[in-house]
Amino acid sequence: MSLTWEAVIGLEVHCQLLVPQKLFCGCPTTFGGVPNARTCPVCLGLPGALPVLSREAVACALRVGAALECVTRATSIFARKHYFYPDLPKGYQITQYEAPLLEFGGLDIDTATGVRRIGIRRIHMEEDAGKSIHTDAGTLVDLNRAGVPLVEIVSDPDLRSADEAVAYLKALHEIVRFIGVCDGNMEEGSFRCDANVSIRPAGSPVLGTRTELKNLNTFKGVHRAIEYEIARHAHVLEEGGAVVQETRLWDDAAGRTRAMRGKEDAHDYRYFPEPDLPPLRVDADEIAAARASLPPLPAEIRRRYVEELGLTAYDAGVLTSEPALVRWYETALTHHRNAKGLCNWLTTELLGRVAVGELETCPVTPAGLAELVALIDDGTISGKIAKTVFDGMFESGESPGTLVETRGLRQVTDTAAIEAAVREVLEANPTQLAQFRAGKVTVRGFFVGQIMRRTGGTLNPARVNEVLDRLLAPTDNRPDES
Amino acid sequence: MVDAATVRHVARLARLGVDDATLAVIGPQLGAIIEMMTSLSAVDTTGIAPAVLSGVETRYRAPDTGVEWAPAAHLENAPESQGTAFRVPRVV
Amino acid sequence: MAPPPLPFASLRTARAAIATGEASSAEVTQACLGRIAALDPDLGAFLTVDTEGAMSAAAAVDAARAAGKALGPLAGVPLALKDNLSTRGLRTTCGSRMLEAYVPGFDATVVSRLRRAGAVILGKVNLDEFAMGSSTENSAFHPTRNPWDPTRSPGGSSGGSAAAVAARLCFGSLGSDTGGSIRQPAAFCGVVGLKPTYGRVSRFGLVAFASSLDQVGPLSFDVRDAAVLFGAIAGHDPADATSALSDVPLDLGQLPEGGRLRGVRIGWPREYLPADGLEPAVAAAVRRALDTLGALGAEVVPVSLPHAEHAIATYYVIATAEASSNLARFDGVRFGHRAAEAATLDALYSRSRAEGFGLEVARRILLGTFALSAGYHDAFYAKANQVRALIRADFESAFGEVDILVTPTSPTTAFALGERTSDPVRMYLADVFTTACNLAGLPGLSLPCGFDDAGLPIGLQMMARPFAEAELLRVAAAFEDAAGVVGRRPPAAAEARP
Repeated sequence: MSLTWEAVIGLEVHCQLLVPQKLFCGCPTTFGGVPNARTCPVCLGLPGALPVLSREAVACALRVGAALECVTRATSIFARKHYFYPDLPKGYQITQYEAPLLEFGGLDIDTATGVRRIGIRRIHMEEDAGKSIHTDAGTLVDLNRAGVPLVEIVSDPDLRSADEAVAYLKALHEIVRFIGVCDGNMEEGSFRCDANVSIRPAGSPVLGTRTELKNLNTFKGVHRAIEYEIARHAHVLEEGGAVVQETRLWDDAAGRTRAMRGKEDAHDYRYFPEPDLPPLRVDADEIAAARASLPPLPAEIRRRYVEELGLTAYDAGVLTSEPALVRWYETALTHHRNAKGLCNWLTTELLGRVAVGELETCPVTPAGLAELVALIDDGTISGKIAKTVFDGMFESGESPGTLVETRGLRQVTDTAAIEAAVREVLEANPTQLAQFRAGKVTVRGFFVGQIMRRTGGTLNPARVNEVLDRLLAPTDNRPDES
Repeated sequence: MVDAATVRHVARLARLGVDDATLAVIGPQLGAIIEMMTSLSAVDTTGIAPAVLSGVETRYRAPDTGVEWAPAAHLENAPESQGTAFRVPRVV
Repeated sequence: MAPPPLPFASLRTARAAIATGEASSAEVTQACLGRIAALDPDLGAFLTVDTEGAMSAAAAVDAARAAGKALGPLAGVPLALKDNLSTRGLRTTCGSRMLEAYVPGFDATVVSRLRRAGAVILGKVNLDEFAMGSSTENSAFHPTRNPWDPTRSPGGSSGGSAAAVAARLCFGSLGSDTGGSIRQPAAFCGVVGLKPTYGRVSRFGLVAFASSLDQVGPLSFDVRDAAVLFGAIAGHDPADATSALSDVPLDLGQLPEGGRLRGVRIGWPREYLPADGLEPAVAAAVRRALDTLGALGAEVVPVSLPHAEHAIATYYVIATAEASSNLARFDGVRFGHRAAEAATLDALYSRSRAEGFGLEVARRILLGTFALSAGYHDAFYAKANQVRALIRADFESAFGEVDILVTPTSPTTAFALGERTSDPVRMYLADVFTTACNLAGLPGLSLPCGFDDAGLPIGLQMMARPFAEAELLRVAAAFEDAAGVVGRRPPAAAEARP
């Protein structure tokens, strides 16, 4: 018997919010450093310490909700989720359970069958746990990360393949980075993903038993783990077995998932409303402010770049890969509206030399690059000379206009001057001219090279070609051979 | 209504070691207290919203405030530490 | 060794004498320390006496006075703190083996407010472990005895705070009250105890028992002293998100002498008079107190609290549920007791907690965990929170008719040590009059209203609308002036009459 299986996948994504202080105390949220250096009685869970909510973290979460088109609850409730682990200092995590801040959103993704909307079931705020470092001498506990603000973004089980799951995850990753709420660093764990996977016979309305996959640290890992798990479920079911509802860890090196050690009571979290925190009330003004603070989202920008600026989908994709790039590009566009030219110079020349993160401090400014492209467009310099000017801008930080003038790089379009230069070269190279006349036409390239070299490349190449052809022509106007 | 197995399960959830001698003493006591608590089932609470921290408005932290404390205190109180990290038996 | 007499009859007179230079804080503090040295070995009120810290705080006040600096409202006055209030650099045990060696790196907000007001902190006083109990017998270290009769309990959980005040070892103390833990020991020891409105006093640094019920409050010789202490600790604290913003009335210590109560409506809940287990002497004293209030001009009427009978069950579900959560942080990882040679994490948890917590705390953790666990959460925790809403509504409706509610504080006077330790249900039922006040978040006060045949003090409880402490204290002071019971001292402090 061979069934066609349909996978049903939902993702739970934890994003560390890019705010300077922890969710319930004033400790800094920076990564790494000496263990427990960034802790206080609150995030250490010392007796008598009490949490007080960060306004910035709430504002940040509201931005996530606005970007993912969620409904905001006017009153949401923090709850305690209980379990014992050394890096969970209070024995409970402060999170939101029955009444999350944000619900009922969605995100459009590109799939093989076109654009599809993936539902966002809920987004809630919670505090991160610390870190356990397992050594031979025991497990070491560092609570620097404890209390760092997170949002957990829970999708509906709308994803049908590993490809779709990764497309969704990438879209989400792009958005949270784009709107500046999360640095998206998967290695450092500021963007983490768990996947719920089940399968069912294609067309069946009934959901299969799901497993939860953890330890998915890369997009590739997410893809491989889901593919593996779908195949594993199919194999189990085809062999007449039953999938066990459990949490499984992805082992990237081994390329397989394995069940986490038995935790018979893992799911009795004994939630109840956090009595140390009043209900979180947000008003319409705060929600509106979050919406108003959002930059245009990448998908929308790409659409506009293709439709209005005439860029290719590929170029639009490159430009929207980083918010800083969009900002840089759009600033340049305000100075000179040659979208394609600016895009090419930015993506090939400038990004060939500096990383996106270095754009802000790079000597080539958006205005400078726009001026350069404008100089090309109005014929002041040739594309080839522009590369020289660009080098100069990069090295000296001077404006292209200044460089063209001080270095005499202005393009010569005056026919008389060009003709003089061409004649000079032809006269200086009688042997080659004779070869040309004898039919060796490839020598023409030699003349062009010589002309350009002598004049430092400032002659308008089209005019040079024109004049050269005229002077080399077999009938009239031959150079004087006397 | 609470048997020894329930007490053991709850003790396990609470990570609280309860030996048999203690269980023999507190098992029946817990039963009696839970019996007393069960009297609540007689109250008609149809349509009653649970009491929450009513009347207390959302309170945000002033960003420049922190707890005044002796930062070294956390290590002085630590049962076991290595460097500035807390140490526990290796978690398998 | 005969104890030195306590030089002043009230916190207010001591403060005034220190401020004028009639007495130095050092002398007054020395007198308290002398009384502690003489009396406390038998009484067992203190867990930690901070002689050095107290004397240096006293010296600082005396120096400030000599330099002509402005003095705080408690300048130079020696006080005692319940040992679940965090004190920087001074061990804070919560009466538990778990925290036997724990030294906080920070002060509770109430402690720093006392320090700022110039108070001298003598040390930390005994309590039922983590404030769980009504007798102070659940302290892991030693029980505290009742100054009126050393074979009896001082009540609890703030038994050390009440006994220290009753025996005149200090001029006042702070306790905490989750279901009556200030008011019941105040009643048993014949002193005044005030549980403020929930949110009125910061909980920051109070080691939490049940976060939605806990409040810190004063225990004192008389109502006006309670008002002074309350004024010093009350008010908004940005470190406690449940702390209220409302203003604290000033000059509460300046309540008029011999005040009348015309225009004040006082209610007594029918459900409480009579009540099961209410001792006749207590009932009689409360009825006399109602007569006294009537004679002062108040209108005294019966009111109804229909869900009052469910307060204890509701309280024990909610308090134990929150306690099971609040005590999860005592896991032997970052502070507190850790079992020796625990080879695995699970062993570390379960053994550290089994060894660190006493029986009553263990019972309550198990009860609370049960009440929150899958399959029982709705029938217990969720149900109790609905009943809590009904109890709260009862009070709202009662306070639509009256300004002050009057009840007994406890159904009995101080019971004998050991009498109830093996019967937790009986112990819990004694909280019948006090728990509803916490469930509704109201201010409540206990003050002496008489004595039983054995000469043991009887406490009268008064409750008011949320944040109406000023009115509560005014009515209590008027009653105190009229009832004339406040002057009586326990045998242990009889010689202390100035």
